[in-house]
Amino acid sequence: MIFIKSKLPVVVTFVAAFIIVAQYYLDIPAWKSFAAELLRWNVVLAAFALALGIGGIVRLHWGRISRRDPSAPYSAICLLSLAVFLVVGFAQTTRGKTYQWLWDYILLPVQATSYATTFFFITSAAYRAFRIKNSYAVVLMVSAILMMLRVGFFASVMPFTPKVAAWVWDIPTTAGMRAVTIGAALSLVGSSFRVIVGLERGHLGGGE
Amino acid sequence: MALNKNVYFHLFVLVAFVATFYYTASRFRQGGKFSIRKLDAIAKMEEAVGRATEMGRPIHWSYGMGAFDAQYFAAFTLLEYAASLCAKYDTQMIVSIALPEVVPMTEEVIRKAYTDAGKIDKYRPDDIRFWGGSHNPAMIGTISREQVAGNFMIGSLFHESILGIEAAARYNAIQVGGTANTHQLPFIAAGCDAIFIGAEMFAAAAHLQPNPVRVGSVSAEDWLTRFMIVLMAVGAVMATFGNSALANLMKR
Repeated sequence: MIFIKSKLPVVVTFVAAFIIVAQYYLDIPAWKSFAAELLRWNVVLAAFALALGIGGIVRLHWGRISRRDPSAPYSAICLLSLAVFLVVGFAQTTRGKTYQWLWDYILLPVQATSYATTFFFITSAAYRAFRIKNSYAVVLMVSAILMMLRVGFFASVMPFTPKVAAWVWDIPTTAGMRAVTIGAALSLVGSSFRVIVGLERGHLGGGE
Repeated sequence: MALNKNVYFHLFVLVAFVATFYYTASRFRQGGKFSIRKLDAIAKMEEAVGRATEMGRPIHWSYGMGAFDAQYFAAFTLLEYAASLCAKYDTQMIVSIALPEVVPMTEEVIRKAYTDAGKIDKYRPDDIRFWGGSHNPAMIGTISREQVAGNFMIGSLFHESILGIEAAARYNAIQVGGTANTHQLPFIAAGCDAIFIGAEMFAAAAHLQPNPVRVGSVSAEDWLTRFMIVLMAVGAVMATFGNSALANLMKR
């Protein structure tokens, strides 16, 4: 049991990662195509994990319904929607007429509505971010104003603003972002290496 | 062996990293010294859990909606830290998850934190919530209904960062963010009380538990960063004088 829970995932991770990483450095077509096939298996694994996630959703909402929680009606709608999508999906596949209708006329409008609320969140975030509370906020405020002034009416009456904004974008912003990118990329290599060779096992419920 | 001729330099960087990693790890194991800058975001996480405990309100955690990559492994370390604090102070922590494959790993990390704290009976699997594609509205709803006192958004963040941060700001939650996705850094910097910028998220593991593996990894990353800076400086000087030999070498 301990082997299946802690050692087997490490062995599988190492073998799979070795195949994927090595195909980048090796010029062997058969190896590359096998690595590509292995990547496709990821979809199958994710499908198994999805079943686990659905189990969690059912457990959470069924618990609320059985406890007669105030949010029980919403939980019932959630479980009902899940059941309808599952039944229709299994009966017709995701290309079926009813499934497509459910997707196009119920799910997509609901998602678009929720996405539209981003506007309000970004507006209030901008208000909070631009409040001048320290020297960093002043830099942020000045940079943001420059970016806004570089286009449209303001750019025509203040022709120097696009040039200053371009300098801010090309020099300090790009330099800062590249520094973060290089540091993060090297850290990604380090973190991935620790996981691949099994030195970091926190996600399996173990230490190092 | 048929090596890909276009990635010699990449292979050199990988080999250099592995060699430096094992060297620095063995030096630390033999009693070498290691110091890491204090990360404010870690202290802020403890402050958030403490405040949540006093107020009797939960902590919320999200990895974001990005694809499963190494950022999640850095986040697992910080999740374990947050979960151990919550276990210690008997504070509820709700985790919003978008990717199904992350659910079992999250369960293992949190279960281990509660086991280590000797409070496995307080572990609540129901607080680990898989939302899938509905992550964003579900996360906003959870934050609003539960009126969280702390919000940690650490991982592969995209536009959901601003949604979670603004939702939690309405309840004056203490917020800690962290990502290596540069396009989201301005948003979390503007909205959070403390942040892990890129590599800091990965270095936090060595800060929390400085063992040879983590210290070796962070030291190797630092040495390679220095090497990259030297390469950039030398390359810039050479390019200024019209010599592109180094740039050509790095393309191979």
